[in-house]
Amino acid sequence: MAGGPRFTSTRSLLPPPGAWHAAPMNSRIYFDYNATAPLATEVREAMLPWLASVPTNPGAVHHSGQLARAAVEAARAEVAALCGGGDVIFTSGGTEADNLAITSLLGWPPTGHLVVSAVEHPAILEPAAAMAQLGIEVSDIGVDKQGRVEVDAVIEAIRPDTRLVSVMSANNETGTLQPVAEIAARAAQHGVPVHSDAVQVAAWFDLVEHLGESAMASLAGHKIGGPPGIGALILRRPLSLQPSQHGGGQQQGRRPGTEPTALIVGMGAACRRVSLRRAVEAERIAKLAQDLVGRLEASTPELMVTVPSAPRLPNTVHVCLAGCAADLLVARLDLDGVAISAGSACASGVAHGSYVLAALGVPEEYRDGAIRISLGYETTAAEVDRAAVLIPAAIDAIRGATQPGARGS
Amino acid sequence: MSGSQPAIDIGNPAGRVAVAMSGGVDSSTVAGLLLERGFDVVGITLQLWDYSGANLAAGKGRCCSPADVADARKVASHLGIPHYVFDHTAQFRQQIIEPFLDEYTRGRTPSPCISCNRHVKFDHLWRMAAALGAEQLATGHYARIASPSAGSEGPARPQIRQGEDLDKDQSYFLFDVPAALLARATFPLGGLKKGEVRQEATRLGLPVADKAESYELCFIPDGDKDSFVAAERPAATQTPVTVARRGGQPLGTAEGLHRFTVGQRRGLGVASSERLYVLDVQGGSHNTVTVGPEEDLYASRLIAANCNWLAIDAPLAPLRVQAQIRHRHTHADATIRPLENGDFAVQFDAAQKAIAPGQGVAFYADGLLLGGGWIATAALP
Repeated sequence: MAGGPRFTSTRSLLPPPGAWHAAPMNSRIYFDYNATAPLATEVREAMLPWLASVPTNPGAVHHSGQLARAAVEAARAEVAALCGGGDVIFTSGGTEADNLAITSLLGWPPTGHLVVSAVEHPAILEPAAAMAQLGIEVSDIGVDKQGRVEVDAVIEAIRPDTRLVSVMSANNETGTLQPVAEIAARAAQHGVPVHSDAVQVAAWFDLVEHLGESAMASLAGHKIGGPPGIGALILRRPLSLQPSQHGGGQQQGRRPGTEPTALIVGMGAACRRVSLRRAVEAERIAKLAQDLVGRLEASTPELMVTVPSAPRLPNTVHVCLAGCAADLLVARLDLDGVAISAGSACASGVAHGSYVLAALGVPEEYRDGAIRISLGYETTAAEVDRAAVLIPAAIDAIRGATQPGARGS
Repeated sequence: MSGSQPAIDIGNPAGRVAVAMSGGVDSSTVAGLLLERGFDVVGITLQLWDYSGANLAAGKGRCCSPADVADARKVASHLGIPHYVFDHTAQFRQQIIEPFLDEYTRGRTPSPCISCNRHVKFDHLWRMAAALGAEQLATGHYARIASPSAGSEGPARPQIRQGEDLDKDQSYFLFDVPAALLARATFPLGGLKKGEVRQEATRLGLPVADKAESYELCFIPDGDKDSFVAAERPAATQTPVTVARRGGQPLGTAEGLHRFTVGQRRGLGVASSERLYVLDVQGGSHNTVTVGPEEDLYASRLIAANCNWLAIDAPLAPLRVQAQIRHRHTHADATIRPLENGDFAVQFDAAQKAIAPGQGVAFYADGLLLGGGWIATAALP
């Protein structure tokens, strides 16, 4: 009983981040890159000078402002280059970029018709629903059993008053790629611009190829090794946008607010890092992910790979388990030192049944057991080896403790 | 003040302990005290009720509301322990809320906390704890349970006693938990008084040290049971009910059987020159509420059904016990006698006031919880 911490004041209780006991931080396995990636070393180093005690207002006329302006513009060029060129509007993240795409294109008051896929991220579905409340008609396009949006269905939904089609590049939960380039090419024939939430694909695919003729794309810094708090909406085709917030005219008035120099520099560095490493990492990580899924299938009964055959993100392993609640498995693996995700994280921190899985037609008994394992540039083969043992063991433990008839002891 | 730690009740002296954290001061203190003693503590909070929409505003500061889940998180991050919140709303509705509503619409007085201990805390939550590798489940109950590891054989049956703080004793709520599910339960606060627990919470710097206690059911945060039942079971509110004196003429009619509980005096909706109390509520084809003077509320016998036995096997012969018929009821001497159908007849030495069918009756021997059952009928003297 002795030997525990002795508390004498309220302050001393707080441990350093990650101090809890199950596994020391450096032996923890982080397999939740689709939620957020760790800040890359080279990104941090690029940012550090801009976190010193110097004024960093890129809009200022004086010397410090001019330096910041140069850094912001250099970063803007890096972000644009990753997307094959275009106007870069920096935002607070992917959610704001998605919102900005919809609201600034539909204008105020919004008019016209909007087409979205049924499996979009809430950062698209929620603003679309808000627009619908304001009288905009929104068409939801369903997906097939692989989670793919049917191109024909999207094109057929286009009407004379359609202002925008928004289809994500890859689903954040299952990793299914969407045929964005094909949709963009065919929508262009109708004169309709396509927006794509590209936050999940940016680290893994050539965006120029993947986005094709898409007019707009959203990126998020923290998904690609940059800092949280920064994202971008890239205008790849000339579009008339109406700003959804008003202020000091920064970024041509399309997204006013003093640009956060350090975060923007971090975003630029992250894009540069992706362009240097993407091809090699995509191939390496695809092999590791295939290895992991093969070992999970071999070791664990009643496990189904959610999207077995559709083109997918190379880093994402999405499986559904019968008789093993995903929220418990996530907690158990956290205690074992492995970070994975159930469904997609929601604001309250409580996992809910996935609307995406329902759309995919996953059998009921497997739907509570959907887990997403997502690897990243820092993932090692040794981590995959350890996880391939720890994950099945945790599934066994949960099934043993919670299935009917189990006493749990 | 930091030099002396209170003695707490704990089963195994080491290993991983899951703490059922409600966000209140008691379970938060349990987590702090166990961590301080070197245990590998994991906090678990179940979200039991959906407080979205209209429920949200009313849910503030009550058990399991979003504010309480947030408090549990705050305590866990203050202590630096891992903490997980699980959505249990669907199971809670099916296992606790629906039977609760059924009971009221049948004219009985349910006791959902007893069922929650049986189905939620010591079954589902313990399974979750075990799935997380915990060897014990600690809760903030004011009750004492003998160490499961005491004695090499281990006690064949759980030895649960009243908590040291008799005002706060919660052992009554545990009578219906199957013995096997209590094998890994531990109640660290059983030897402490509520005031001492608050002192410990303050000493540990817990952000909930001064939090007010809640006395309402967690899923009826405003305490308005009638409105809750009416909203959930609209048809029940329209059931015509006859209010009558025993064996006498009807005094009037009312709507909604759920608004009447044995012992109730207010809101009977009939005029009378004397104080009238609800003596009996009959649902089904009767839909009658019998009222009468206070002295008619006393009964000396009840039938306990669906009994669960903890410290002893089901008695085969009459047994002298002290019986508790509701929370905070003073134990009353009684003799229990097994019936052929498995129920038990409980004969009190002195008549007891307002025995309500649907409530639980717990049997004790000098503070040791023997078991208990559900009050099926109360026989009037």
